[in-house]
Amino acid sequence: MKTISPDMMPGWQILSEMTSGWMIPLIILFVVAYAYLRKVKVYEVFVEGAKEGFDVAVMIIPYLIAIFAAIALFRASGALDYVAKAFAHIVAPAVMPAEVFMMALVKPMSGSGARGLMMDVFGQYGVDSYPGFLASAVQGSTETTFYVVAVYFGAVNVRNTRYTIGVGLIAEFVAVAVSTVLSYFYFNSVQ
Amino acid sequence: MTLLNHIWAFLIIIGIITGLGSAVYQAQTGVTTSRIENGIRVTETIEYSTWKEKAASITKAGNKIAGDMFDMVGFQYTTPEGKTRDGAVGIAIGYIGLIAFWLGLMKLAEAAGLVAVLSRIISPFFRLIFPSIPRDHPASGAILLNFSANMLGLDNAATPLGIKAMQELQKLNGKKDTASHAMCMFLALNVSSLTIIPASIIALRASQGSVSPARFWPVMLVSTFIGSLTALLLSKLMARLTPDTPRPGEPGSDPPDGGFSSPLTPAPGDPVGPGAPPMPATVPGTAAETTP
Repeated sequence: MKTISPDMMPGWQILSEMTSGWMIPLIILFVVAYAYLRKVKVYEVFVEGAKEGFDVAVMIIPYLIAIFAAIALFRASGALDYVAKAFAHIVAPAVMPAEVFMMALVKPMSGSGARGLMMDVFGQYGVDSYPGFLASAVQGSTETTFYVVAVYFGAVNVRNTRYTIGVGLIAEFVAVAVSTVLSYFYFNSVQ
Repeated sequence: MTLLNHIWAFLIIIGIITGLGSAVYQAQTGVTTSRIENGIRVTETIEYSTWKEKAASITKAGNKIAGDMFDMVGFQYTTPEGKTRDGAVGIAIGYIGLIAFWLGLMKLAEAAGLVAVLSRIISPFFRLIFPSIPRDHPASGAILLNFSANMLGLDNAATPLGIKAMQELQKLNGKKDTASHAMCMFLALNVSSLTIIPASIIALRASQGSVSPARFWPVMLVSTFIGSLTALLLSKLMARLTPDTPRPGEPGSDPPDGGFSSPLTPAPGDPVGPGAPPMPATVPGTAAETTP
């Protein structure tokens, strides 16, 4: 990924990047300094908490394997492509190009896959084109649902996820629909 | 059966059947692949004439499906484009350091009383969203931290903090293998993407030479907000329609580890019969957790 020189960026963007770059070090500073001044045995307490890291990570593995195996089979067999192609033209391509539809379909299953498809859209239509704009908005307002569910529920060994996936997928559908409608009017009216 | 069971079976069964069907079909008609090279779509067609070639192409398709699957559940693999990606095990193992670090820092924040302060501040606001979390419980503080990290686009911190929040919620959950309403609400809000500052997408657009990398931002903000609102309202509705999991120690909850009677409500003077295993006064690690 090539980086552009700071002089080309608008001022607010440089400031926002500086803030987010220093956010985590400042949070760490605040927590450690506060605990230290409150006479907490910082080193010992930190190690005590960090000990759990290994168990949690290992606990997630079976959940991730289950999700990834199912998604890999669905993608590698071409089934995902067929589904995307079958539904791609229910929306007018001028409103939602097939590539962006595909990206929205992949997003809940694979973050890197969706990112790759977004880069394809950028490459094919241009970053500042309408499809590029829409792809960015959709990408930003959706999450990798299955992955997040596997990691979070896996970390506490919850197997029965009840209505989480259903609610998550409906919310994602709503977010994509709203993004599409808004993008269409916003992109074509605000210059 | 919950939806995830159906989706899981659907992905695997439909995936493999489609793969087999399309392998047989493509052996008859030939394979057309298209890819984008320097912005131009390149289309290639390979045709198979003898039955041996056809059988070989079907075999190859089967191997590819199995190979791709084992790649993704393994440690690391290389994509056809030559990129190295982590499989399921690789992702989990790679997370160890990050999770350990944030759990350590959270323990510090807890010991210093910071989480308690956050929980006290946010509790009144969370009464509506998470009614089952008791006032001032550390779960509120952990959830607040995860939401903040998500909103600011601090991806490295958001997931470990979310795991911490799930651990706190699990302490309030009496049925350890089933999600409580609070967990479902927390997850629904998380998967509806709470992002306010989409730092990584803006950076990606800038690196692709965009003249206005943040132009999509207002649209993304509104749709994220509406998506999260949908998740919130639907979770609320489901919480009203379905019963919550019991609290620890309530009827229907899991027996605590080791098969002792509930450590939350030890019956005063509970007689220990002759031959019964000696019961410790408190089960280490659970007494403090179950009394918020």
